[in-house]
Amino acid sequence: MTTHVRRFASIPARTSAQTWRAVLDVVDPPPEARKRLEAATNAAAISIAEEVTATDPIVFVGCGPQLRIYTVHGEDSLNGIHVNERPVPGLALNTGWKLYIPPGDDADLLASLVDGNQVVVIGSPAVAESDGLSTGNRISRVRSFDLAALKQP
Amino acid sequence: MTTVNVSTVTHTHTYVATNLMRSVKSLIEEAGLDPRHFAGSWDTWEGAIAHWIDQQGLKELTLEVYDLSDSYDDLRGRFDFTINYAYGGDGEFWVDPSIIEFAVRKSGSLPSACRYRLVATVTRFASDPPFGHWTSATLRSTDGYQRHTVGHAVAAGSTAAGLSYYRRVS
Repeated sequence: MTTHVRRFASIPARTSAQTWRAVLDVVDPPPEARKRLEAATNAAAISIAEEVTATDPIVFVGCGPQLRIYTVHGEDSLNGIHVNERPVPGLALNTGWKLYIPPGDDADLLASLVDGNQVVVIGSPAVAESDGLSTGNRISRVRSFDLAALKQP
Repeated sequence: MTTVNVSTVTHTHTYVATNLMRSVKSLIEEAGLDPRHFAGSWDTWEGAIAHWIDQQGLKELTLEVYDLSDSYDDLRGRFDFTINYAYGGDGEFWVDPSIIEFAVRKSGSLPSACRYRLVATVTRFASDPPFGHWTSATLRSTDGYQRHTVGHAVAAGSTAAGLSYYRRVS
């Protein structure tokens, strides 16, 4: 199985919900799938806002290649460092696919937000780490940074 | 460079908007209240806050906590995030989660069955966000309460959100 990894610029380049919408724009799902994914916006946005997705990916399975999505925060999101938002070839969200949203400390809360959404699961797929692929994902958990430094030549 | 300045301002707005949301969520959870009601409108509120801050139109974000079983005076607590667009900090972006815990502790205990609502106070020139349904609201009387300011919870460049809590004194 092929696995693709994408890293989306998030706070402060985008708000948490804007980040999720950017993901949907790249994934470009058909209308029925988009409806279900948009219904998960609050849950996905909270996971992104809490920076859970900086280290634990949002995962699409059952849609051709597996797609893992991380978010980039802080200065890196503004500089585009480690950001990769390219379209994913061969992705097909038709039938049998699922979206996994990592909950961090908010499992019960996020589960309540997607209750009834049959394609969204709060948690991680059981075999997410079994493909031997090293993501090399760098954590951008910068709680404090100096934006003025970006202006220096 | 103008481009850098414009994008810098935009980034401060998104940073403050999302981290205000995180601060409100944290406040609700620290107070022992059910966060589902708030979480269910995360997208709407985050977008609205970013929209108003972009206009420098958001003056205050208030979390009112109330007990519906009291038909006479149902206010049980209140927390204000007051926006300062001329914050004289060092230009850095930061969040202070400890201030939330401190404010909740100092405000006194709240019954877990309490409900809450979020109210935005905006300037007269602020426009409604292009999404969501927005109506006017009147904040509950704070007679018998004293307001205390604990410091800034979120800051980004020249924009910061100070946090105050109300404590009953009579």
